Amino acid sequence: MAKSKNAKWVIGLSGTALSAFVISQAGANQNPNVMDPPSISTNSMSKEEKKLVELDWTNFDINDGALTRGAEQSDRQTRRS
Amino acid sequence: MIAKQEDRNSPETVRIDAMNTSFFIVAYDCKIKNWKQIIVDWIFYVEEEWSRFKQGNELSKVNQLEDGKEAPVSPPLFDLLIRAEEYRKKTNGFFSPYLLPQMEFHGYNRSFPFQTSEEMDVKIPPVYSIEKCPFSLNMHTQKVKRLTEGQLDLGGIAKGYVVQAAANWLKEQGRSPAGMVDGGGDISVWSKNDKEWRISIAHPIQTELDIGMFRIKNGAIATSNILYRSWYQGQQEKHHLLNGKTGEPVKTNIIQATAITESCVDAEVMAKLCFMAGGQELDKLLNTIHPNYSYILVTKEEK
Repeated sequence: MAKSKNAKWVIGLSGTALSAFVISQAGANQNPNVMDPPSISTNSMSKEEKKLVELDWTNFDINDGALTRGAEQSDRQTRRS
Repeated sequence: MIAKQEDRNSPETVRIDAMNTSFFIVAYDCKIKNWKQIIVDWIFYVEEEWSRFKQGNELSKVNQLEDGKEAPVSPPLFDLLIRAEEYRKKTNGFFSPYLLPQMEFHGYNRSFPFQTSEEMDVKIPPVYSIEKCPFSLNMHTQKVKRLTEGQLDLGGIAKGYVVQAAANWLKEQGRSPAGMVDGGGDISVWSKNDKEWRISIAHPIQTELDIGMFRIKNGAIATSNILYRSWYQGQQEKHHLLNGKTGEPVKTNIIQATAITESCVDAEVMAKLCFMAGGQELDKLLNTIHPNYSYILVTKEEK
């Protein structure tokens, strides 16, 4: 798909105009049923992984196990940018 | 760019190389049929108009404004400039969009990749005090007026803005029940159904490896890393993450920070702040950006 001749910022305008609405919903996207942090055995983990599980993961789950290969298990990877 | 359409129950995807990185967008059941073209136009628009490496675009026109002169800018850029100034105030200057002279002083004066830059004989340009905003922004005319010297470099915050605006648009205008916008690792996801997104965090050096994974339905993630986009200026190692208060590359034992919060723009700023403060000071700063957040830091010692 090629870039169209008329470069548009319609998304920026309509997308961000809605962000006030999104911000007003602060917290609405968080899971209201706050879970206990996951209990994970750290014996076989690297230092990096141990540090991860020490953090507050109230609203998130992490998988146990060793370092894994990129996209094999996740939908997407956040990385240096 | 590769566009792919699968059966009705599968999401549509689009991949774009732009802004010196790769974008990957996933949308389930978007009601706007030509959404891919619109998204592509949006990303290319920002690449063209907000890059500090391109002449004659709207960012350069703002940077070249003479004292007291004003210029109209597009609504998205106007919006981003307001937000960027708000971040500067909220973070007491740790974050600053006005670090272009300092960035160039340190040798980041062209697009990556490069490994070395020339040393400068002059002193580092002074940073602007928190009370001083180089521009005034007129909400009624959507014009930017130069008040004093100051050069914009939007950097990572522009990418966060592109990602979040696209996600908001697909979700609200396109009424897509679930989707994801990934701009080079800065990610925004949404889900109004059972879809949970599994996001892994890359190893700071061996990016083909993951150091952890979490599941999230709605939110945004940004990762900053000082090993990437680093170079040598003479004998000195430099990197792209500057402290807005000093204009110098941050000195820290943290090599990678991942922030998770509601908006990708907030996450981008939060990830940068993780390199500039610690402990209670960091939490206080992050709270001023958004009350709901998590962050994951990787330090040098854990190489």
